[in-house]
Formats: sequence, structure tokens, C-alpha cells
Amino acid sequence: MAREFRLEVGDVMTYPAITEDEDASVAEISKCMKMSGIGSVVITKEDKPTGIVTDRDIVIKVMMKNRNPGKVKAKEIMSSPLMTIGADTSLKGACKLIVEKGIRRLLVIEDGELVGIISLRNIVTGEPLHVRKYLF
Amino acid sequence: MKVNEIMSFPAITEDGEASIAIILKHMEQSRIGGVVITKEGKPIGIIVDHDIAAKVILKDRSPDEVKAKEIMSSPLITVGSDASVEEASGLLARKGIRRLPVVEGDTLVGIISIRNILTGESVPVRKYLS
Repeated sequence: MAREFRLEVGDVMTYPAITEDEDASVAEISKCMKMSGIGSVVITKEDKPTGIVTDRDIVIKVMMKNRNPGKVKAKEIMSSPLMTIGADTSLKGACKLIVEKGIRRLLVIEDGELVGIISLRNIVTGEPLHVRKYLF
Repeated sequence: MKVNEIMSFPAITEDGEASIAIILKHMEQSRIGGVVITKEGKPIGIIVDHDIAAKVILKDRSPDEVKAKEIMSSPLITVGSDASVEEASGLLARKGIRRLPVVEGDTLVGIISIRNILTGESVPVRKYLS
């Protein structure tokens, strides 16, 4: 909860980060979000993170424009560059960065590797979340 | 498609005098991102996770000592239950927000969020605290 600010980002993040290739369709990203119960998917190129697609990106850039989610690629609507934070940063530090940038989530990095995502919800509730990727 | 086909319902409400600690409990237990704040039973504002992050956590205030009415966003931006999902999406996009309380006349009947629109699913919500 909001009281325990000695906690670090790694203690309350959503992990692992769910990723998809940049050439995946928005329909696939959307399905991934629904099945895993998450609001964002990290987009990779040759397995390296290059951007992020959120539920908001899909609603505003695809659904509202009546574009076909099966035909739009993740890389066309992803946000980049990525905003990252170290897993050992304080929760308050993450909170400050998120509020200042006007965003909802940050990629969490540990030893140069992507290990999770920290969102406003994680910070406010103090609850870590384990997610899994469903194959279909 | 209409807003009331894919909203989360009912909207969870709490009085303006309630502490942020109580609002946080609702968010955790009911798995929701926003609590509608009322005065004498009438909706007057909303608190979302961003309000708590920016106005309580970053200001080093104690959630037990801050009242809901001090940090709520007000006035409420609402959408009618028979409005189209396109209309709700447009409002969410223009205002840069994630959720809208849904009203039927003067009555609050639910909340529609970006996630509801993405999944196209209506979600029943339970209130755990009395």
C-alpha cells in the first residue's frame, strides 16, 4: 500500500513483461492483453525492446479510426522511445517519473535485461502481479 | 454498440469525507481503477490511481489523513448509458482520461474505461466494504 515507500520497483512490478514482435498485428496484441489481463505489451525487434503498445493506443489509433486490427502492425502504433527504470529504484522515484512524464507505466530493467513493468496501479496498491503469456 | 453494453457496473462510490486509505481498499479489493465520490449520495467527483500518486504519495501525505474530497477530480465528466461507444472513446481521447462514469438521467449506473472498450466486455463489480 501507499505507506511502504521503502519498497523498490522490483518488489511491486508486474512480471515478466509480455512482449510481441513489431510485425505482430494489433489483433494479436489485443488478444494478448485480454488473455493476460494486462494493459500494455512491449514491442521487440529481433528480440530487443523498441516500443510499447497500450490499450489506449489500440482504442485511439485503431478502433476509433475504423482501421482493421488484423491489418495494422504493432510497430505502426507503438510508442517509443521506451521509458525505463531500474528494479532497485525506490517506489517513490518511479512514482515521480510516471507523474512527471504524464504516463502510466515504465519498463523495469535489471542487469540490462527487461524484467517487468511497473504501472501506476502497482505503485498505488503496492501489489506485485505475476502474469503469463498465453500461446494461441 | 452502446456504452451500457460494455461498461463495468455498478460504479463503486464513497463519501467525500472518507479517507484515501478507504479509497485504496476499494481499488484493491474490487479490482477497479476509479472510485466515484459522493456528497449526500450525489456524485460530485472521481478519484483514480493518478490522483493518489500525484496528490498523496508524491506529497508525502498519509492516506489515513487525507479526505477523498481533497484530492478528487471534479466536476465529473460523464457519458449517457445509451451513448455510442464511439462517442465515449472520443471523449476519453480528447480529455486524455481512462474512464467515464456512466449515467442514466441523474442516476450513476457504471463506469466505462479504455479497457472495457478494448475488450468489448461488460464487467460486474463487487463492493467489499460496507
